[in-house]
Order: sequence, then C-alpha cells, then structure tokens
Amino acid sequence: MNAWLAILLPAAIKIVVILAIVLTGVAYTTLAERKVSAWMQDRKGPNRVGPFGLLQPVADGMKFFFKEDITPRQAYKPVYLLAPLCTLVPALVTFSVIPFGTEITVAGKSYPLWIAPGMDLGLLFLLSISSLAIYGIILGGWSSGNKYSIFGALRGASQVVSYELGVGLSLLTVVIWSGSFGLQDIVNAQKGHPWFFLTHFLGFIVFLVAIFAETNRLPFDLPEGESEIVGGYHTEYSGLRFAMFFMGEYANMITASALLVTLFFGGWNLPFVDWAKFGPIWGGVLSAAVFFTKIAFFLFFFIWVRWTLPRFRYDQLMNIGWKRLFPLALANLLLMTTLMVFFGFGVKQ
Amino acid sequence: MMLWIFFAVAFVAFLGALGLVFHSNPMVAGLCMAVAMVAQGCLYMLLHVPFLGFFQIIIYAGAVMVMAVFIIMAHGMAEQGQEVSLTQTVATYVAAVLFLVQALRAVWNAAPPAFTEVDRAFGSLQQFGNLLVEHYAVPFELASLVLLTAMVGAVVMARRIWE
Repeated sequence: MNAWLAILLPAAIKIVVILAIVLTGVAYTTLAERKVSAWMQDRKGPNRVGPFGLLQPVADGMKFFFKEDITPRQAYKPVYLLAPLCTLVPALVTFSVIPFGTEITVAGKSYPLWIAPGMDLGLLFLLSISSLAIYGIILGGWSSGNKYSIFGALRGASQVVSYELGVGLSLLTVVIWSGSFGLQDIVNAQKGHPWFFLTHFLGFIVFLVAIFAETNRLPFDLPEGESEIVGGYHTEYSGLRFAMFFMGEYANMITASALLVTLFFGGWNLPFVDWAKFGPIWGGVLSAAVFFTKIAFFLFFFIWVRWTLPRFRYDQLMNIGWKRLFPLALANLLLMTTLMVFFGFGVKQ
Repeated sequence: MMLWIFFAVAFVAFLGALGLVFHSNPMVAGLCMAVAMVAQGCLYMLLHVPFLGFFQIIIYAGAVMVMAVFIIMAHGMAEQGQEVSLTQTVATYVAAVLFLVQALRAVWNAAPPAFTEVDRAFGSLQQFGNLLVEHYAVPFELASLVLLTAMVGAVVMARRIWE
C-alpha cells in the first residue's frame, strides 16, 4: 500500500498544481486576448471589473454559469451533451506528458516536474490524444441538427486531417535528431546545444503554421468562421457547454504553446544556465517559471497573429495544407535525414 | 489489478463493436467504432506494446474514423440508414450465427496455446524499426505502392463522375 501511495501522492499533487495553472492560464488568456486586441486597435478593452479589469474572467465565468443551457429540439441529445467534453478533456490530458521543469529534491528524494515521468513515448501519446480532440468539433456540429453547425464540423474534420500530416512530418525530424519520442529526452537534447528552431528551421515553420490550423485559430478558424457560418460547430451551444468549447480552444492553445516550447525552444532550458546550481528546490521552481514564461510568450504570439491576419478562404486553406506545407515537410524530412546520415548531425543518446 | 483493467477495457471495446453493428444511426455507429478502436489501442498498451496502441489510436480513431464520419456527414445520411427488408435481416443474422459457430469451433479445436516468455525488448519501438528497415523494407514499400495506385485510381474515377 505504501508503495502505491509513494507513486500516487506526488502524481496527484502534480496533477492538481498543473490543472490549477492551466485553468487559470485559460481564464487569463481570454482576458489577454481582449486586452491585446484592444491595445492593437487603440481601444481600452475590459477595465471595469477589478483593477485593470483583472477580475473579468471571474465575471465571465459567473455569467456562463447562470445562463440558460439550451438544447435545440432537433438536436441528437446524448451526443450533443457529450461533445463539449470531447474538446476540453483531450486538451487537458495532454499536459500529463509535458515536462515543465527539471526536478525538485525534498528530503533526499527527487521528484521530476512532469506528471508521467516514465513515459518514453510521450510525443506519440500527445499525438494520439490530440488526434481525438477533433471529435468534439465533429460531434458538436453534427448533433446540433443545424446546417451551419454541420458545415463547421465538416470544415473542422477535413482541416484537421489535412494539417495533421504537416505536424507529424515536421515532428519526425526532431524525433530522429534527438533519437527519442520522450519529450524530456528532446528537451535534454537541446541543453547546451542550439535550440531546435535554429537547427530545424524549416520544420519549425511547418509546425507553426500547422499548429494554428490544428487549434482552429485565425487565420485558420474556418470551423467557426462567424462571417460565413454564424458560429460553426458551436452555434447552438450556450451557457456552460459553450464555455467548455471556449475553454477547450484556449487549453488547446496552451498545449500547442507548450509543445512549441518543448520541441523547438529548449523547454525549460536557458542558454548558459545550469538549473542544478540553484539548489534542490529553487532550481526546479525557476526552470518551471522559465517554461511557463516561454508559454506565455507563445500565447501572446497566437493572439498577435489572430488580430493581424485575415481569415483564409476555404480553398486557400486546403491548397496551403496539401500543396505548400506537405511538400515542404517532406523536403525538410529528406534534408534533415541526409544531414544526419551522411554528415553525422544529431544527438546520440 | 491489471487483469481487471484489461477486462474492463475489453468490455468497452465489445460494447463499441455491438454499437457499430446494431445502432440504426450511421453516425452513432461510426462513433461506436471509434470507441472500439480507442479501446483496442488501450488493449495493445496493456499488452506491453504501447507504440502499437498509440498508432492504432492515431491512425484508426484519429484519421480513418474521422474520414468515415466525414463521409457520413457529407452525404447527409446522418438521420437514418436505408430501409432493410425482413429477408435481408434474417439472412444477415443466419450468416452471423453460422460464422460465430465456425469461429468458436476453430478456437475450440485449436491446440492449447503454449505460452513462452518473450524478452522485454520484444515489441519495442526500436525492434519494430529495425525489423521494418532490415527485413520488411521491400514488402512495406510494395504495400505503399499498392495503396498509392488505389488512391490515384479513386481520384481518376471520382473526376470522371464529376465531369
């Protein structure tokens, strides 16, 4: 029993802490979205609730909570009620394999700062979970019994399937280079080496574009394109169920940022800094702080792009996916494997 | 403990398969199949071949079933399947029962399995990669060529229907 407790207790603490951080992050990213967009458009943005509008997410949460939860008569009810969960849950589960810091040593025992330390196939786990996230959009759109919703679902399905190729192929070079599917090995491979966005620049660009499509963010937010299909797959949703879709989108953004940081921006590494020097506890805490700061930067980047670029047309989206990104990813794979096989690049582990 | 988890997951896979066969709504049937696929992936993981389980989920639940569901939605068959006549129903059940009897007989008559311990590296990603590149490179490429031909053929036929 004690052995089980020794495994479960640290894991439970880590899960609670990470969920708290991610959900708070989701709430404040929604605020940041409105603040940054206001700043970019020379407005003030929300500034009434609390100092500088900082309590706005709380007010929004209350509003969602007290709104009427409407189920349309033509909806297919069991699926309609299930769909929002299918978006939110995968976005949160993916955080179990992302290493967000080095380790904390307490009383002679070291606790690595990620939820599933033994996971040597972390990247595969992440890909498989995120490939299921699309079911939320499909089921939500289909079960609403509304033609705009169905259009949103159709667009979402074809878009995600098309861009998953780009994501997978651009990740492959990183995996071959660092010789492992484990995310902590990929982070370690960038320790004391140039970060992968320098060495895998082409792959990084492909991944960056594809991840915008995967998270349904502008300029690729066709599944919900307001100006064409009302709200897309979540047209009929209201109240807390809509909030779940909404939180799912922002949680997906946080996961995507965490992936970008882990794979291409050195994870919790900083150049010329060795976290072990900062002592058993502060080293871990500081490394986690650096990791979350990098995530915050990419969240800002997501928002920045959204308020800068207009939405693509649907055929343009498909053309970029299949005729630009896919060949580019293939060329990148060929180039990197050539470098590794014939010129001895890469990290041996 | 692991055995109980195994049977629980297997039961989910079984329910998914039943839903696929018996649910009248093609969309829900497709969803049930996705559930069965995910559960099957989990079974692989419990049998210590985690990467096969992940690929099962990525490819079958994440890509193949998404395409199938996409086609069901795009064709607007989502409301109800086609009407099936009584003879068809009866014939299907008779065939299913015959198949089940034959399968059970085959399992029953099979030699009792001789379980041998395999080493821990068996089924690892490294071993799989080595086998794929060293022994099965040519068959693998042939299979991909066949698939490519089928894909090109499908595109050509679809174009002809459009024009």
